[in-house]
Amino acid sequence: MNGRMAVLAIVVGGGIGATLRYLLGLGLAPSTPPDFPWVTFMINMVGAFALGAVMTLLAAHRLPGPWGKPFLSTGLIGGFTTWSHFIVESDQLIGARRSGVGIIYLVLSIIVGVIAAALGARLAELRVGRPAGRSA
Amino acid sequence: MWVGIGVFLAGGLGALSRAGVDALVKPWWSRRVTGSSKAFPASTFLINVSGAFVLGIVTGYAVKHTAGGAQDFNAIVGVGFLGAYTTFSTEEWHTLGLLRKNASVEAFNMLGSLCASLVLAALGLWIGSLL
Repeated sequence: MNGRMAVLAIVVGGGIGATLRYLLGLGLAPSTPPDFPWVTFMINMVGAFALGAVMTLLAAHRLPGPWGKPFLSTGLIGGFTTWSHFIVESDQLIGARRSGVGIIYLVLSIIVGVIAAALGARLAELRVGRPAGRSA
Repeated sequence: MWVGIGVFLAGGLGALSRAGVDALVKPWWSRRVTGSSKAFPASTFLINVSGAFVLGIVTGYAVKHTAGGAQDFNAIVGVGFLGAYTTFSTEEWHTLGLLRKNASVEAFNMLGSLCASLVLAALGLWIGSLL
């Protein structure tokens, strides 16, 4: 694939993903710590589910066109989900003496995130069949 | 409106920067290491830990400076660039893959990513509050 096309797909996908996340944060009343950060939590769970599905479709060669992978996985889903806000929100909860909420947020995000990715992968497998050599 | 466009452009740049670091670190790592350490997702680790540190600084600054300029800076650089540069979904996808094949590398990756990110982001929050 043309390198310039891949760059464009990543930039547009990442821009859309980040803007969606920004608008959700504004629209759904940004949860300021010490509250449980529901908006980031839901964004990351939806993104983990979607990436599980997209990577499985990729392995089965069922993604649309050469722009499918850079646009969807590196751009849109990578730009939508965020590790840095997940971490900083946890630190802020712990700093505001809400360590319990902070630790629940950390553990729940990691575990539900892996389950969501596995569910997304499973759902895509049901549609296209299990890829021969699945890799992470 | 302008902030929204800024978030869009910064998000695009953030995702592109992640792809750039990936393209540099992945081949370097697989040349450098052998055996089970090859499975360690070094580039995602580096991206997420460095992004958490810088977002700590940006957030620490924005918490202290409540004026519009600092909030717009936080939206564009923090929510836009750093949010898109770091990635939760890839981290979880690596975790799922490693759980299936290489549980010890997975435990090291997830615990290492969490601990390094939490400590550096806390340091960043403190640095940002001094600025």
